[in-house]
Amino acid sequence: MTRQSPEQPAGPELNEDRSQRLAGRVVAVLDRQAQDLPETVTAALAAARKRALEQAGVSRARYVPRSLWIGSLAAGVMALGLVLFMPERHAQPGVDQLLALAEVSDGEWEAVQDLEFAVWLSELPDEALDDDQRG
Amino acid sequence: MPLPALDAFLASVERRAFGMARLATRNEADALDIVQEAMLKLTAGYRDRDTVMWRPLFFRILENCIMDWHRREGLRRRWFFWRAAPAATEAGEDDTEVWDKEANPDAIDPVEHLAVERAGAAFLAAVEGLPLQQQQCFLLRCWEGLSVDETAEALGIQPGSVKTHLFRAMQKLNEVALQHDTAIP
Repeated sequence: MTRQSPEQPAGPELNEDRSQRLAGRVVAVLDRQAQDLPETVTAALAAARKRALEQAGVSRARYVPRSLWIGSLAAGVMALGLVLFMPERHAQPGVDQLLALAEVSDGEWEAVQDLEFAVWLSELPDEALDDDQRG
Repeated sequence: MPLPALDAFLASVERRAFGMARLATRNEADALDIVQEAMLKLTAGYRDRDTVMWRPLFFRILENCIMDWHRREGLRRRWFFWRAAPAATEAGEDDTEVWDKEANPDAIDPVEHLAVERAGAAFLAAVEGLPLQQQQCFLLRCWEGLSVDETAEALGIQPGSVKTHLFRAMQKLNEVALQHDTAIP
């Protein structure tokens, strides 16, 4: 707390009301000075603002590809996962299997057909077999 | 956030920001550098923030830039003490003269005009002569209209300290008003 020296003029107490009016008075002076700045200063301020906005524009142009890059990376990882795991779950007859069948001899081929017939017969319901026997 | 909004915001605060930096540094060129630095930092780091956050952020950056300037200036004065000169004279002119050049020509009564101008110049000199934190508290609270909490955050001090600094600043300005017999409306 600053102490007032004895030679300072006695005046109204600095209560809240006087503080507000005093602050308003000083602010009015500051506002007036800020509005009446020399043209060289206002031009320099405008140039500074322009530089800052140009920098913001450049930074923004760099930022957009970064978000795209992250999205592309995620899509790539997902595609790689599909390629690696989907063929295992939905396997189709490959070239190797077709070549193996081509090399089977006639006798072996009949044995394979008999085996397939036995498998098919075992899968039939018992009622179907009984009907066939009655018929 | 679109750049026009940022442009409008910076245009709305640049004059007061310059005034604050000018009062704190007493040097026009340094004040311009500080304002530019604050603008660049805001656009680089905070342009995507909510627009209502720009004002407290900008003035926080500005105050940090002013504090940095004072630290550098203190260091410079310590190392180059033999050429230490008052910052006010570095620009080659007295500060009150700079402000006086911008006197309002609209006043009609020359005597009243002179008294008002003298009081205005005295107020400006008083604000300029305040200790840095008192000055910053007064300018941010009373001129920029930040809340006590926003001012405290901008200056990195406690809200209670803001009130104390502001009260001391107002006491000094009141002394000026009494010395110049200024009628406070």
